Amino acid sequence: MATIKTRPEGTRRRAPARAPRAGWSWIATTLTGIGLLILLTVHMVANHFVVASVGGLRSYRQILEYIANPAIFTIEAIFLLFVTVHAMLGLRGVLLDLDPSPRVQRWIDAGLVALGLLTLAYGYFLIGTLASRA
Amino acid sequence: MNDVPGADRRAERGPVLRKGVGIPASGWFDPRGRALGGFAFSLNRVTGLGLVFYLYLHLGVLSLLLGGERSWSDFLRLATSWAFLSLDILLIFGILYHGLNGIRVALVGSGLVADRQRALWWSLGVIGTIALIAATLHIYGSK
Amino acid sequence: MSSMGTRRFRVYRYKRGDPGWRFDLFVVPVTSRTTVLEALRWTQLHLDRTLALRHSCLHASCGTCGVQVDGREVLACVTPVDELGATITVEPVANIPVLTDLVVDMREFVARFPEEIATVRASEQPAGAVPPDGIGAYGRFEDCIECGLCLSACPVSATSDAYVGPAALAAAQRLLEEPRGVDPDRVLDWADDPSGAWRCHAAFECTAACPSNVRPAERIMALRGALAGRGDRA
Repeated sequence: MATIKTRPEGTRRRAPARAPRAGWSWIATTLTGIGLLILLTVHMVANHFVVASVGGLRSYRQILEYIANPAIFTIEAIFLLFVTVHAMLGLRGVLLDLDPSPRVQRWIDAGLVALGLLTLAYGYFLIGTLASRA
Repeated sequence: MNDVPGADRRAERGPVLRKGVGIPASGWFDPRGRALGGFAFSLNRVTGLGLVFYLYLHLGVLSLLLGGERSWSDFLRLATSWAFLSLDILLIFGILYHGLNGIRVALVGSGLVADRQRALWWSLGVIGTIALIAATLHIYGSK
Repeated sequence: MSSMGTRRFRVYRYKRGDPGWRFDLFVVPVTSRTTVLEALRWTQLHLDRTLALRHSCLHASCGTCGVQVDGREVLACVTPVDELGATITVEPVANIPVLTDLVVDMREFVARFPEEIATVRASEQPAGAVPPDGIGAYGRFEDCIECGLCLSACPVSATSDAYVGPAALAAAQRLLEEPRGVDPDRVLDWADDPSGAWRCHAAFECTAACPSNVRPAERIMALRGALAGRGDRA
């Protein structure tokens, strides 16, 4: 026979409940990762590698001028979004390897969503405040 | 059979060997028997966690800007020291490794180039090494 | 005549009902051609009749002698002692409960597989090849010998028993490649699970450990490609 049954009829593998669209996390991590390749390169080069200062570190005035530029502000805002989502999904993957129960997994998911939103909120507050000071 | 001495103990599930030191996720870091792919995966994890830590450190450092020019200038004095610049190079290693290995994971994990994972690691490694050397020269050269 | 010497074998021991496991040390005479399995069989015959191990074909086609040697997953029957150190540690494969000594409960390994797996596949004989009299058509067995080495090597399986593991996912991908009457959508539904194809972290340890050219990691990646390609399905 080309195929065989691996277990008697009516028996099931001991498995958690089915989760449709289970690949969303992997796909989202990959897509944000691809976005970060571009955004992080732009961030690093524009921030640190075109400035004639020690370690590429801008002065206070230089930073305010940099972040006040609308195009830069937009790019940095999108960068923060992508990096936060990618980081939270990555942390989720790491924490899932501690084999939590479904209940603990729900707390982990809620906690990471909350942490991600707080990170975004603070980050946008920061760049918004600095841009307004320029 | 149930009245044979020790039958209950013998019916118990036996021990399960796990790589690592008894904590579930520590198996990633057990180097025994590991091939290149496992090492790449472990280092991806380490750099990923390092970068998450850096994300919050970076937000914290940028918060000094809220304190005005004086507060930022004080930080710059520390941040332009040799020790700090060396930590920046470590950061760039982490970014390069995680990013370039991420390209490998995306290409391999989507099934596009699954049978070339070792070649991808080495070739992206060469690119990363060149980029790291260039960044190091640039950073140390600016001092 | 091969030169004789001895090696020390540090062998994992556990009997059902024991409070815990231990390592026993055996000094075994070896030659340049001795395999780990031969050394273990010599130990069983001459030093300790209670040492339990599995083996069958003696040539890497049955998969029953899978063990960890110095932390690396191998088939004992084809692992030369000559390539190893002076003290050789032999343990059962990881991530599957131990029944006794070097024997693990393969029921827990098989239970992870999808409900139906393929055993016979298309042969690599040329299309026009004529089989001998009495043979209907060429075919051959699937590559997977169900040795469990991939599951033992997998770093994700080390963290969770819920993950189906490389062998099961590779078997599922083979059903997509060559359905043999199995519904591919059912196979994809089975694999589309957080503890299925999406749990793999592409460490490729399974492919490195596989003695039979199954290349489970590559198959898991192909399975993922198929899942991503079929779009959002509830």
